[in-house]
Amino acid sequence: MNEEELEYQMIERYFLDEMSEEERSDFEKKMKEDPEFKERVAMHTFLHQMEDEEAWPDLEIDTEELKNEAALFREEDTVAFAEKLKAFCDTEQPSVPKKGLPWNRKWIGAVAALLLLALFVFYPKEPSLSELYNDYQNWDNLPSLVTKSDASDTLKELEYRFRDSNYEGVIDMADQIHFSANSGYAQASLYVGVAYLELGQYEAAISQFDALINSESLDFHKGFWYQALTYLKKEDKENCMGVLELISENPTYFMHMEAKALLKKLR
Amino acid sequence: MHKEDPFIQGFLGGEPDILHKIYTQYFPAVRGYILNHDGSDAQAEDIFQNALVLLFVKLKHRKLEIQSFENYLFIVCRNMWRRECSKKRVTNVDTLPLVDETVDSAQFSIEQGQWDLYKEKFQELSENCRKLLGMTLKKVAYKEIVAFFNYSSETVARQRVFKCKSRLIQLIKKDSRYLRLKI
Repeated sequence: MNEEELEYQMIERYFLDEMSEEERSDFEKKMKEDPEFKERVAMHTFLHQMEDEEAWPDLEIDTEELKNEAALFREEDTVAFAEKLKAFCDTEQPSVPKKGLPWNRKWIGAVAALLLLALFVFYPKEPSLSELYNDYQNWDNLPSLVTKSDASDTLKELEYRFRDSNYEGVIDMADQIHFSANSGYAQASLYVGVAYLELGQYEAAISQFDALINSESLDFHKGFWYQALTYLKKEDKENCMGVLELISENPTYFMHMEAKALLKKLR
Repeated sequence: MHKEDPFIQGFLGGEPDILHKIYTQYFPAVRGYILNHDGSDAQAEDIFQNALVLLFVKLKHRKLEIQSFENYLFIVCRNMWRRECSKKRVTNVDTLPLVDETVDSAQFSIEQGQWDLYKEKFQELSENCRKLLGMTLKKVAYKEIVAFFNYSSETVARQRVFKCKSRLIQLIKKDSRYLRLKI
């Protein structure tokens, strides 16, 4: 057996769980120390995952490549196609055969009259801005950094402080955030921005979200939604609606549907 | 199937007749698969919809040679669902709403591209190699493999598998579409 085959047989035994404790720890040590060896092992993992119905290879993809590919999904044509599909499903859902309305015109008139009456009786009073804020404010939908295996310790610490409502602590860490195009940066900026918002420092919150919006981050658009919430809390209806309009014009932006709904309520 | 194929053209143009065919004839198999693998109707519809958008992007922008639209669509749906399930197992939380959808779609699209590459290269192997690898990659015990192929010993079986696997890895790595695995 040549060296290559010896190594292969070792990897194979690692995968089949045929190693002794000592061999296993030697093997894992080698992976840590020798990146090329580690890559050869990764190739085997990849092949196994491809055939394993319960697994899916988790590839770490170059940011630039990911950005280019994401751009294809944001293209006007693609978005228009997706909307066309949605519209098609809504009107022609094949699993729900369409039937003619079972009632005649007389009934339609009666039902319409009833509905009109109900509209007057039950029409909800206009909700106040702060009520709307409470309805839409939900920090649970802020992405978690902790579940990502690649999250740095700074990011993890930031999230713990945030979940602990230690907002001053979050802001203290703000200058430790460094820009990167992946989601880590965007998530960290959102934590800091929301911390300012929670402490009533609206201007700081708005400029924090602005920084995210103007960055090269793939998640830049999330800044708009939180900025809209800041204006809402501040009871600045005009600016809030401006930002919401922007989100509702872009179907790929974060919380697009919610922005549309909120905008409707504000009008 | 070529990009100029009338069916593909109709699909890219979103023609109602073609969409109708896709939803009535191709969706049931996907739905069945997802329901059988702990998914719901709503999830099946989401996956199907996302897969169609992915096919749109791939057919429009990439040189994608597919034998059959129906088969490829099913494979994409199945892989999407596999990925969804394995993501949930790893993080143990519902990661769906946390990630920007377009970035997530892009990530999957690239991963699916690597899967295509893998399958294509796998098909280039000899029939014997394909059978042998198919079994070992699915972790069939060597004992069974020895019996199935009538090898004289487990050592012989392991050597054969080594040769086939090395060949496959070589073919994949030689291709320009191969992304170095970063770990």
